[in-house]
Amino acid sequence: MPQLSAEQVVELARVAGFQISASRAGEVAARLRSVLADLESIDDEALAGAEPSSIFAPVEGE
Amino acid sequence: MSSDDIHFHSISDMGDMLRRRALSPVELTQAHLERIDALGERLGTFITVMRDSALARARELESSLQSGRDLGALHGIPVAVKDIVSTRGVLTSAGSRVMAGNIPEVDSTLVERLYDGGAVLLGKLNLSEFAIGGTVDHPFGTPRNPWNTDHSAGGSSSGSGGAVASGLCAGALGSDTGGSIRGPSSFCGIVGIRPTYGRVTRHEVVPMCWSMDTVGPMTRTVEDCAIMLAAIAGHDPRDATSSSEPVPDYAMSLDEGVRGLRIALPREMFDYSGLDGETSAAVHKATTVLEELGASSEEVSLPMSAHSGAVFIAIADVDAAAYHSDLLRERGDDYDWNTRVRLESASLTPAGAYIKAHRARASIREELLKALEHSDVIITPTSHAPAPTLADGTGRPGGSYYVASDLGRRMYASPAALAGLPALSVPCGFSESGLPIGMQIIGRPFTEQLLFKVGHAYERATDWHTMHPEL
Repeated sequence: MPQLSAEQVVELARVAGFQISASRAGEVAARLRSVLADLESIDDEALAGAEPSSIFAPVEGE
Repeated sequence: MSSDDIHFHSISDMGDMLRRRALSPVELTQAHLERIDALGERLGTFITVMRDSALARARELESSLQSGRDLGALHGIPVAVKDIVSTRGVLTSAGSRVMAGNIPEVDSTLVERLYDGGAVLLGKLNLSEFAIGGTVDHPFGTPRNPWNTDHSAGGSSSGSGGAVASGLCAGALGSDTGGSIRGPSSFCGIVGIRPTYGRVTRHEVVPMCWSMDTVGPMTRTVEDCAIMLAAIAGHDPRDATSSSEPVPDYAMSLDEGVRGLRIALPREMFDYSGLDGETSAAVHKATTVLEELGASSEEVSLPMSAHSGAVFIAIADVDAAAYHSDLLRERGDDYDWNTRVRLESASLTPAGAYIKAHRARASIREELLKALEHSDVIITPTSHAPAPTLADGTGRPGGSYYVASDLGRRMYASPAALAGLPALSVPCGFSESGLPIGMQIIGRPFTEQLLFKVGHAYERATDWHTMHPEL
């Protein structure tokens, strides 16, 4: 995924049901590559025991 | 009294003048409307000015004050709200062509609470499209930084930052998903707080990311920020995420000082290669001021927070993409170029990456809370640098929202957002080029009162908050 190309982005978007113009595809690919590369660089061991949290319920008096 | 004498007073000073009858709510409102007429368009701050309703409201408040009915600290005070907060019968555009015809049928609870507190609503403020930063082409005019109009006012609460800093309103509401209150506050030289997640209702506020969106005040002093937060905080049955934690009297402990306060300084945020030297020096100097007032500081390490930019984008932008999914397909061309690129990119984020981001988010929260077991607050620069130029403040290549710089610079604003913690930005200096610099103070959940106390102590020892742009 970090090697994602503009052409692949256009194809992925088509499969997902929307169109990305060639003029934006390069920027979309660059942004996605950058975010994914940073996430991949996080050592999985550092996340051992960390369960996905979407919302932290406000804990009263925490 | 001329409008020049009025518009940079604090809310508390304006309130004193109103109660002493040195000024009337109508005079105060009129003075602000005249200033908006003179400067609003040039600064790109307002999308809608609610002139008639503001004056009518001011007349009502004048009568009630004359008859001895005082609604509180905001009685007669002219404020404005970011244009994602719904106002009954008044355009709520979210700064987008997509919502250019949106006239809500109800007020947000936030607006109701401002009215209940006696505020005069001057209008709706400009922003980055849908509160997603990096807008290239603002459909309602380009928000400019009042300290240098060639520079950005920040995003996404750009109009809120510019309007408060330039004296077009006494205070404003902004929203902060990943720094959108704190960034503009820092860039415009004002005070702004991102409250604890759940502290302030988001009823009838256009969402960006359900799990991180917050609304908070932006003002010229810490005391004013405390006054405005007190007016809007508290449980709202119309927002399932709002907390029932009691709202303290934020203003009560402002003068207690910081003796004994323990400050954590995250190494990763001061060692970041992209951190501007003047910004680093200003925040270090501000910390020294707090130490001279009796606080102590120690360096801490927050290694996972260094990834917070990517984690934030992977979560917040995906949430936003889900919200915009249908509109993006149907009216994609009506979106700004940068908003569209971000949403399209987020739409293609793999599920595995999204879940990993959520795991990293939990780890970041744990890391921050652990640091806050040994310290009372964490202090960082609010932003890695002062306001960029308008051209560099977008998502275009080379801009601060472009991928190359977007992830690193976000490590200052994203951790508190991801962890749901309160964070206050206060002015702490200026660059040589005359642009404001902000210091961020992060605390444990629901410790807004402590953050205000620290900010107020710093404010009393310095004079940055008394400086205003010449316009």
